[in-house]
Amino acid sequence: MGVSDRNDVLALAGQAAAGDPRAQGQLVDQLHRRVQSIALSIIGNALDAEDCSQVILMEILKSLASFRGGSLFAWSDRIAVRTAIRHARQKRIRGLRFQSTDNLDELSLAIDAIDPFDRDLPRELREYLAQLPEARRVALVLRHMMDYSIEEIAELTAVSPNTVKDRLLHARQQLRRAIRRDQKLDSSRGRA
Amino acid sequence: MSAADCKRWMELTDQAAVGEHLTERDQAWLAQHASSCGQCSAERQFYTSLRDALGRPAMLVVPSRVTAAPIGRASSRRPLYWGLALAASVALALGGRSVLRKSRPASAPPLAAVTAQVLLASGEARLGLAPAQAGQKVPHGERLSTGSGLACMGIANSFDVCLAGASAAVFALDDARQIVVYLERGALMARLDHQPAGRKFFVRTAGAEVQAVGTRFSVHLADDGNMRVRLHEGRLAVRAASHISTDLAAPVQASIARDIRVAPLSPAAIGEDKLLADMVEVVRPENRASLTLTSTPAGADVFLDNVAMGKTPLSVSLHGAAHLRLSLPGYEPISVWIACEACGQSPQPSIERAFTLTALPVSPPDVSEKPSPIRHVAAHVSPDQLLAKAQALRARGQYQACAQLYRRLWSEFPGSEEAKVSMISLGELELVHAKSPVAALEAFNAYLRVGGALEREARFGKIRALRALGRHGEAYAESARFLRDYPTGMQAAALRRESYGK
Repeated sequence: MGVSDRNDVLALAGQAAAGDPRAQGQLVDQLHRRVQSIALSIIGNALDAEDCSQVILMEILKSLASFRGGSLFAWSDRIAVRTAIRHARQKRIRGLRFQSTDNLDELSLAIDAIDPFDRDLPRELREYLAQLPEARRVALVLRHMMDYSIEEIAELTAVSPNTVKDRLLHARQQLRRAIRRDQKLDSSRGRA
Repeated sequence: MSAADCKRWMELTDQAAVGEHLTERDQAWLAQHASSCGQCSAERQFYTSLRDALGRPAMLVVPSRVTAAPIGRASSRRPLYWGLALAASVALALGGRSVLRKSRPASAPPLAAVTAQVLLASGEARLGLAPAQAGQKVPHGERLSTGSGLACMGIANSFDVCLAGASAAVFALDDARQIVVYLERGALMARLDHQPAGRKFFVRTAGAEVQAVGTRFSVHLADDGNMRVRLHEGRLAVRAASHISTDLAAPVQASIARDIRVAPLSPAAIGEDKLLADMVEVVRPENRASLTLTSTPAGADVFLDNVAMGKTPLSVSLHGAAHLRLSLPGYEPISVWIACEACGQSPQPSIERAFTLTALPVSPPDVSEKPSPIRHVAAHVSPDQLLAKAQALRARGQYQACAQLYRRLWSEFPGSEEAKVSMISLGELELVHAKSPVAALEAFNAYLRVGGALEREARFGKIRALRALGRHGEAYAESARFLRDYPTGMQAAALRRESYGK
């Protein structure tokens, strides 16, 4: 059963909320990759993101009773974003530092063997994201990956819209410098 | 394509990013410019890729080279793994009785008959998710992590790898002739005997690779993802992710990022590696028995043949007899010989030893017998008055008199906050002004024995005192623990700067 049909989605959510393991499994199957992506991009390291993904899926399943139809992805995305931001904040408060190089092969095992490299970029996507401070990365991810408006990001991250714009512009400038620098390095190496 | 065009492109895309409206004409121009400008096209590609990454987590993690070959098979297991684990766990959790537990897909089978074995495991060292034990076999693709402990593994009876605190590494066989240790975080020290012809040994991180032949070297993975290599003996070939590579001959150190910077191996770097370097020499591959040590209370420092091996509980592969020393601040140290009469027999013998440490009475640092210039301070003064007096003396530069007051505070009011604070001040004073790191270390240790809100300062002072005493191995271990417990702050930044020049 797909989740594109509104009635199907509502029915599936209702069954999952009632504790039907099969419905929960189907729902998790529909959402888990999206949830993983959101957790990874906001939290930035695979180790914490794996923990967070599980927490997010728990939150989604526990909140199913409040789902009133519409886009399941849009509804679950907001839960995922809120949970991931809260998780990142808790990690920061506990003094655990963001480590861009953290890597878990479990997570790589659990994803399809799709080509992770983008040939048009000098480096991998995650390397560029890892360069950004957390606040800027979150703003960039919410805006350009999740397509949220400035006001939505402001509400989700509990800052003013102007702060969101500032973070976003700084993140874009930082990335721009990195991408252009890498391109120059690559082209100079090519000439050599 | 002019710079002005690129500048306009950046301005317009930034405007769109912050929600400003662009005309259709502007949008058309943006598309046209990006199609003809490589730099702007790459930037646009980044955002396209970012959007594509939603639902494609592989774009956001480093692909696992350990599991590159069987990844298709693993992925076919994934929906079952997630579906079953989550559905089952959530069904329980919704009932309020359980939370999700991490599970792990089975590791890939070994590709060749090369085996790895845990040689040392102390503190929180783990093999996979379970506590590590000396003598355990390390399966291909399994992770050895240290947390607050230390760990070593021996691979193919010809090279040993010791992990510093807060480190994790995965042992893998890329093929029958390539043995790889993936350093995921932290630092390791490797000692490699000459290998059979054709066999290659690598240490890899996400961004760089080291190939060793008959070598002793350490690899540190910095927080910025860059690799730092210190080559103590032998030769190495290093390669950065940018495909720049170079050969190194000892003694040198190299920093590997987008490029490779080589410098002579500094005495400070040698000192910082001493702990792991000594350890990797102790855990020799031959004639082993498994020694398990526990103590009451736990957390005692263990020294085997005067080499620090971590804290209890600890298990280590032993070769022959060894001198064992257990030390815990505030307790009587224990010093014994451990005999290993059955070493070398098959199956590997196990020795278990449990020790109970005897507590010492908390004693103040030595009070100087010299005549005190502050005899006029009345005996019945309160601790806060004594502390204020000491601070006043310090402000006037009368450090000796001030130190005596601090010591008096400690001896007369041992339980007071003022007395505890005085030990931090005394340590600083002895370290900075009196140039007496021994007395400073004693003061910081005195504070740490009783504990308190200034533990961070005491531990930082202790590290500096150890360094001043030339006890670099202990200082390195203390620094690693400090950075694990207090990763942010001025002291952590200072330690990193001093350790890595960051």
